Amino acid sequence: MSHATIPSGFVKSALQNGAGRYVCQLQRLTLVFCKSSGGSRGLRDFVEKHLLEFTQKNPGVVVYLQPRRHRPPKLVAEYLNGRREEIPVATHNDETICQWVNHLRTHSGNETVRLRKTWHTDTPSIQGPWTPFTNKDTRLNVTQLPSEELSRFQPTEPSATEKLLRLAEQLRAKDAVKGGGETGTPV
Amino acid sequence: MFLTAVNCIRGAPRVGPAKFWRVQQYLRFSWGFRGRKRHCYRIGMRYIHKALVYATQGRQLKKIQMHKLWDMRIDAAAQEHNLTGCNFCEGLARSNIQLDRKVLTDLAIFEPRTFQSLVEVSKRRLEEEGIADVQAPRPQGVFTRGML
Repeated sequence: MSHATIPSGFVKSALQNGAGRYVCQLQRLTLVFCKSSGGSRGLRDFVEKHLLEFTQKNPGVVVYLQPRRHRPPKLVAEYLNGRREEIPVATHNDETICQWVNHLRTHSGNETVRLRKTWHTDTPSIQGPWTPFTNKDTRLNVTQLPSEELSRFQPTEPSATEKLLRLAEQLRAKDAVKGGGETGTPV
Repeated sequence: MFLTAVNCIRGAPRVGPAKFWRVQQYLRFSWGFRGRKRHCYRIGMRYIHKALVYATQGRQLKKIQMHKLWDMRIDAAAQEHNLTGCNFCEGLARSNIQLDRKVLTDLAIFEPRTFQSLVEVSKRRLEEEGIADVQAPRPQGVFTRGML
């Protein structure tokens, strides 16, 4: 369930923003509020006290005020990638709304999803990724295949002849030791 | 109306003012299901519960399976340099190289030469410590005729 129902994605940046110059991704901020209702009081206070400071600090952000009667207050942020975020701020006080506005200002506009990896790289490999030929002998590049020498059967088990020869050597070694100990003459 | 019997029916959604939202909360999880399981609460509820159970189990299984996969890959990569994965990790541990299996796998895939030097470090350490049979036994039943 969670893999499909809860969206996930990879780390993204808006054209490597910040690597060179930083561009504020917030394009437009719209403050929707009611001039008289109680829930919009925080937003009205924000407009009176903190909005001018915000606009002076962020000349790249366009701020719209939408006084709409009998509607709950909200902040609507539109970003350079076209995405839109809305935050309902009914009964919030102006300090909380300051924090929300700052939160919207620092967003990149990308969707907030579960990150599958907390890192991203355009160059995952410096030495070159592994291939089946990475650790093989490079003489294979210049051999004509199929080659007789390489095609020879290479047994994993020793053959019967080899086993007998080894056995004979072992017995000879034993006799040599025994013979040397008793009579002093090797066989 | 006599409601006790009706409310005691198993599988029936809870009745009350928040019923709509409680049902909707469940149906959010039936995204991607087939047929009436996707839309109908009574039918879909069982499958949603099952999906949640599988998700819980899967979180544990994923860790186990990834660990096994990493072990396999490290073993395969070390075998290319004539060292078993087990011995390789032992040599690294004795050399106080505390790279975990995930990082070792990434190195083996993306930085093969770095991995090779780690294998050499491990081999030298095992030889110093006197751990016998550093050379991996030849895998049986692999016929490549020198082509690979």
